[in-house]
Amino acid sequence: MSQMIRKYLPLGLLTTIIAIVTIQYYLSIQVLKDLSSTILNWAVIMATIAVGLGIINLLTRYMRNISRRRENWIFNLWTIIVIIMITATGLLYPFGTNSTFNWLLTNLYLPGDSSIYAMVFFDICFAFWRAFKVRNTDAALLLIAAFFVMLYNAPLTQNLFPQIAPLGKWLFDNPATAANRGIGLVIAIGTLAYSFRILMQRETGAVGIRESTGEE
Amino acid sequence: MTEKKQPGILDRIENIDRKVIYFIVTLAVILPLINPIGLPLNIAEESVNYKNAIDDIPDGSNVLCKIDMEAGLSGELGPAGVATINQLLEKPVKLVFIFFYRGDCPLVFVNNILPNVNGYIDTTHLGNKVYGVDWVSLGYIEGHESAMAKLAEDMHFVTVDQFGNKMSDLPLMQDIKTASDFSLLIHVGGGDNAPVLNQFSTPYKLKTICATAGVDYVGVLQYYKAGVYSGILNSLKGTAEYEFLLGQPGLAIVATDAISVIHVTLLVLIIIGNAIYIYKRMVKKDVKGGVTE
Repeated sequence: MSQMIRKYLPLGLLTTIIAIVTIQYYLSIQVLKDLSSTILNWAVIMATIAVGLGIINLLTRYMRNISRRRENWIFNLWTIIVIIMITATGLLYPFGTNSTFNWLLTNLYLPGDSSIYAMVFFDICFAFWRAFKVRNTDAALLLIAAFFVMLYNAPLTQNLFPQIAPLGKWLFDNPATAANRGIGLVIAIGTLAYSFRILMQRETGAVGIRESTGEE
Repeated sequence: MTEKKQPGILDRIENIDRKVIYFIVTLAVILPLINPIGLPLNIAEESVNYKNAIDDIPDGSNVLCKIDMEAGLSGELGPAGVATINQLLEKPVKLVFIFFYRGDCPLVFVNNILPNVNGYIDTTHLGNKVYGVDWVSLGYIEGHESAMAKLAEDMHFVTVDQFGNKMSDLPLMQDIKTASDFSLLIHVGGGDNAPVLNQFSTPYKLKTICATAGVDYVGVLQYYKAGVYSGILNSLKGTAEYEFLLGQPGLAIVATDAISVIHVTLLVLIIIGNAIYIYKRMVKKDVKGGVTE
């Protein structure tokens, strides 16, 4: 009974959901379309609940870190303060568009996010200087490709070296696109294979059960 | 006692303080912004097709716009969003904005994109377009690809818009039921390419164009080459070309000179770094082989 509830029920549910959503994508069967629509509704609701669960999980962990004065606990405290501040103002009327909530996001969150992203640029530039070296054949190939792509990407070098810069375009159009398609196809086939294994109830990992031991 | 060997000039250059590199690249970005060079642009075919796809929208059509970027990306993709809306504002079309990427994307849209659009007054008036009648923003919808699939089949699946208005109070949304009610899908963002194509473009045969971040360009290019995307903009470079085609120089054209200079700076850094590295390796080999200089 326990095996039935723990293993076969979730796997059966998963199999049914995959079958319904996949088949309705290709075949126009109204009953399946309606069922799929309801499942999608559930998925959206569950995704929203998952965000809430994530916050509860984070708060629990951080509270524990703070009470035990673990390393960097002060940052955990700051995170909790910010979460409470944003949530509280977000719940003020008018819901989600309160001026205090908007002010906090516009003047604290957005500039902070942009700054962090911009700071990465400096490290990338330094990495170009320190790490981008011809240490072996692979690195040399990467460097040569990067060199031509950079020549193509900047209008100045495109105009200075009109004969060389198109090589960058060729690299984009042919080897890079071909490799990307290859990776895309491999991922698609892998996903299909994985889904098929779930459909055949052979992929117990999908419901959190280890195949060898049957343990959760 | 052995005397500690003093580092040579090459060692000192190779181990230069990172702050010096930071200073050099900062100058490389700031100087062209202060003093633009005005370099000529080579217009890519894909940028022309992006503009043409918007030009070809029939009058009175609905356009689905996913101008979906976080604050960090707004420097790179914001100008594409602004230029795209500017072109759309010149056409008698109705716009619906959607966001799936991250919760802060609608805020970036309202705070970083809309204020730079031509004729922006406030969120109720976007040029000559009135909110609720000519354009609507549905705000962020949690659930990513599942939410995309759901919204594509039922545009009224969300009950309120980004500003808290009921969907039933928005005249524009009364005529829009599913994704098939749109003539064009515009995706400006870094990522989400496959989900957008899977859930909107392919099932509803929706013509789609895309403005993408530089790192995603190859991923988008494969779809463009296959004819799935009708036009694409490659980061700030593509946006500068698009602004040029529109005859509306904007943020991207200003930034193009900085992009050129920083690219050249990085190329020079790579060349110097590698020249030193190769020279030192050759000298080391000679010493090991017993050959002294």
